[in-house]
Amino acid sequence: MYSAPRNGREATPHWQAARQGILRLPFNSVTGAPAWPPSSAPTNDGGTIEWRDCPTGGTIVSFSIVRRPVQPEWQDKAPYVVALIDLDAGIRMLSNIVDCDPETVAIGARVQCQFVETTDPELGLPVFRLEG
Amino acid sequence: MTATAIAGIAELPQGRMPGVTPMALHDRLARMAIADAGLRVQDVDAVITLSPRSDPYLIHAAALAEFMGIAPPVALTVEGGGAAPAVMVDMARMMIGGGRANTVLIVSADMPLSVVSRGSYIQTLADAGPVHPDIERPFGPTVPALFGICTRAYMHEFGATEADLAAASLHDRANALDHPNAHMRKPLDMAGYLASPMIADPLRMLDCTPVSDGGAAVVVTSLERARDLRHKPAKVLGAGFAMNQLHLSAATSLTASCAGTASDRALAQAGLQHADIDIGLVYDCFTIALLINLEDLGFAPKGQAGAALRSGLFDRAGRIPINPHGGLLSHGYPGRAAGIGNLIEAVVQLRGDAGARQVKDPQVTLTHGMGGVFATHGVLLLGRS
Repeated sequence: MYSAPRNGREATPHWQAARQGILRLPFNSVTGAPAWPPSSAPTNDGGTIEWRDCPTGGTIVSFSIVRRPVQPEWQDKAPYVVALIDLDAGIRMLSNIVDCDPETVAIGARVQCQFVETTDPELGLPVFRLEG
Repeated sequence: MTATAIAGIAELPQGRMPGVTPMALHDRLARMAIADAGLRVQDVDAVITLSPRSDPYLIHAAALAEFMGIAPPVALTVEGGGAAPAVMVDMARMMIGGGRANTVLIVSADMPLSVVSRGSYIQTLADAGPVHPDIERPFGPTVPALFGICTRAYMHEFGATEADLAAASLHDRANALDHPNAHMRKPLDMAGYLASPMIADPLRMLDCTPVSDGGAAVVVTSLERARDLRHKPAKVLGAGFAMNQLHLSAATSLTASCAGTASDRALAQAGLQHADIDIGLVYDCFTIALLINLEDLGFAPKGQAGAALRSGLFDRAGRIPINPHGGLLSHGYPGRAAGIGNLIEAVVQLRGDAGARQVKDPQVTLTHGMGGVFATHGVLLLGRS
């Protein structure tokens, strides 16, 4: 079980949607620019943060295999993969590549989002598995 | 701007310091640096510190002044990550230039090994260090994993190998062997490097800094005044800063950063060319940081820092000596204070006091510091006056 992210934060709508199995992400309503990591929407162009439901595919930009976890909840999970993923929706996200031999993960590999529950019953998280 | 100089320095052996409190360490370093300058504690009219993770206070600099029995008009504790040494010296310059202070004491020390414990210090870094607390932390990224992500991207982009990472580790270790204050002083060869365990692929234990108790202190004053003091002044020639973002999720590149922009700004302020730099003190919290920072600071073409390290270009007898003290990788990583050792070595080398590791007749040194994962950069140019 993943530890819940802090509730009442800018990314809370994202985690609430993840709990419902939806990849919902923030964009500037005028420019269309991603607001991830969470950022302000410049108001001089009338922009606001707009949450959009996004396709779940992406590509691995780079990754590391953690052999020495430091946070208590990760102590018995090593080795696990932490990766940066370029989502097809145009947002770069840090997450885990799950359900695979870490040695088979590669830069450029295609991944699909799946969702995991957290210790907060209202909040989920997106993680990724290799396609095919 | 009023010309300023570093007139006093102090450093103790980095490593484990049992039986000392962090405040006593700050006090000792402060008094040593003031004495090194030939000044009195009462001369200090500004204190700048970092907040040690091992010993936090509401205003750490004021707590230190109280501990030392002084009441300077200015007592500031700043946050600048690994770029803090350049930030603090530049603040001192502006205070002196603006007439706010004459004698600025900078103390940067931490005891993550003896007071906090190495494990809990590393956890603190993973919880509230360069990791985004909302969108990154839930996925368990350690700091080595974030640098590991950059390392793998660097290897993929430039065809670099573990031999390039090893070159950085071995370079720093060879230099640290001649430094009595260095934390890691056991000789290291390629076999030893390859035998070190993977921490966060492709980074091994010996691609990471040790965790050290330690730090240092410096005294900054006007160049005019410094000329009458005990040591040959290390003149502040220029400072430059740059940032892209804080968190890796927001980085536009995993293999290049704006370190060169900070360096260009410092060189422009100093009216110097890159070729004028005689020694580089380059921030290297991981081997990959030394490689990428060397390249972005203009010491090697992109993707070729490993080859340049192996060629001897950066050795103490090479054309442009880099980290003659052993860098953070082998001189030590004193927690929040990491990077101050680079500044101390710049002054020691300019004074000609580096003994066995003295570089021949340096006139200009570049001291680089980095906050976060290639996120913020500070560059300080010092020279013989």
